This record gives sequence, C-alpha cells and structure tokens, in this order.
Amino acid sequence: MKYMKSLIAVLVFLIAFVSLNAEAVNDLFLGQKIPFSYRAFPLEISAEEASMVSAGSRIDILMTFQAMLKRSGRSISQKGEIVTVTLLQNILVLETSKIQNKNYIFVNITPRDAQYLALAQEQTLNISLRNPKDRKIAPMPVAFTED
Amino acid sequence: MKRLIFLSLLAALFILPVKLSSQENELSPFTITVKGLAPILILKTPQQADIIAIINIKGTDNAITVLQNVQAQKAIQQGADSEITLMLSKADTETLNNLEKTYGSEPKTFLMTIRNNIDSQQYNMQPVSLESLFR
Repeated sequence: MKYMKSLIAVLVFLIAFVSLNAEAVNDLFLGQKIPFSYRAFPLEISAEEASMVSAGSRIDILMTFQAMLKRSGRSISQKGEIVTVTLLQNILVLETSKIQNKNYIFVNITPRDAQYLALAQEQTLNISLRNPKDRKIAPMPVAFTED
Repeated sequence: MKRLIFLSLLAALFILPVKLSSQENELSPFTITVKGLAPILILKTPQQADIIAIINIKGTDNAITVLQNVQAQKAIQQGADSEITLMLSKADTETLNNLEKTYGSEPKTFLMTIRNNIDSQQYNMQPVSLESLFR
C-alpha cells in the first residue's frame, strides 16, 4: 500500500512509453528476427506473387535471362536463348510489405547469396511457393525455351 | 527516499541508451542512392545494414559487399529509388569514395541488406559475378 502510488506512476509511465514507441518497436522487429550471419534482402515481386506469400512462407527464387549457350552437337547461338534457373531454394520470407503499389518481400539469405541476388536484380526474377515442411534442396537443371 | 532512488534508476534505464548513442560522435552522415523503395519501408527507425555495390569489372558486372555493419538512419524517395543516410566512420567514407580507384569503374548501383541489430560479425567478402555461378 505504501508504494502503490509509485507503482501506478511507473505503470502509467511504461504504458505511455510503449504506446509512444509502438511504431518504432514494430519497425525494429525485422532487425531483430534476422538470424545471426544472415541478411534480410528486399525483393520486389508482382501483385500475383504477393498474394500467395506471407511472413514465414518458404520460396524458391527463379531467374530468367538471355544466355549464349553451347549445347552438344550445336554451335553457340549468336542471338542468345532465354533460359531460367532456380537461383535459390528453400528461402524463408521474413516480412511482406507494400509501398506505392510495389510489393516487397524481405527474404532471409546468407551474405554471399545476397550478392548473387543483387546481381540477379538486373534480370527477371520470379518466386515459387514451397510446402513449408519441404526443406529439400534439389539440383535443378537450367530450363530452355526449346525444352 | 527509496521511492526517489527507484524512480532515478528507472529514469537512468531510459536515458542511458540515448547517452550511449551520443558517444558515437566520430561517425558522420553520408548519403547514397540505393535501388528500389524498400529502404523507405524499413528505415522508419535506424537499422544495421550491409551495402552491396554492383561494379563492372573488365566487362562483367560484379556484386561486392563494400560496407558491413553500418547504421542506416533514414531514407527518402528519389523517383523509383531511395536516398539513404548512413552513419560512417572516416575509413568507411574513404572506402565508398575510392570505389572507382579500387575496382576500376564507378558503381552502377547500390543495394542495402539488413542484418540482426546485435550481429556485428564481419566477413571477408569476395566479389561475385553471375558467370561465376554457372562456371
């Protein structure tokens, strides 16, 4: 009873502090939920792709680009062919967000993979959703338009 | 008296982080433009970040992590991209200013990744190219 007034004052102070900083706490959350030695990488995705992912989803990231290929029995095509590769597999989505009709996901990747994904931003990127319990990483062949 | 001590300790608890952050006065603000609008979404409060530069080295685009564990303070929109303010040491500022001298050409793009707030580990990061991925 002796300290009741102090306790109430402290509680009021704490409630005011937390409510005033509620937005800051939410924003800090991304920086707190990244595992050590990993990075959150922002990836712009289409509205259709955004509709199928949420925080906690597991995805593969595919990159489509033009490449000069030499296949058995054929010479290198001069024009280049459209090919798609699965660049990263079993990637955790940390957060989803939207700004000015642009949809972003923040994916959890290693610093090295972040460098590859940074380069891949110059190409066309797509994502595919995985079963969250399927953690298998399979060797993926390059897909050609002629396949 | 006890109440006064208790309230003083409580006040100190909230004032101490502010005091500690003010001791980082050897850092100076430095602005760079990074690709996309994502920084605006995440830099409503300062975050610890890595900066990746895309630099063309001998005709091939390379991605190089040029800064690790720097504080990104705020972001403002610049068209389709974001201008971010980093708090950099003298050495980090020199690193950014000397990229052209170090790698032979100016960076085409900068990108930012976010790390855990209390993860301060630094790695020896080597430049990578997409060609090296398929070799």
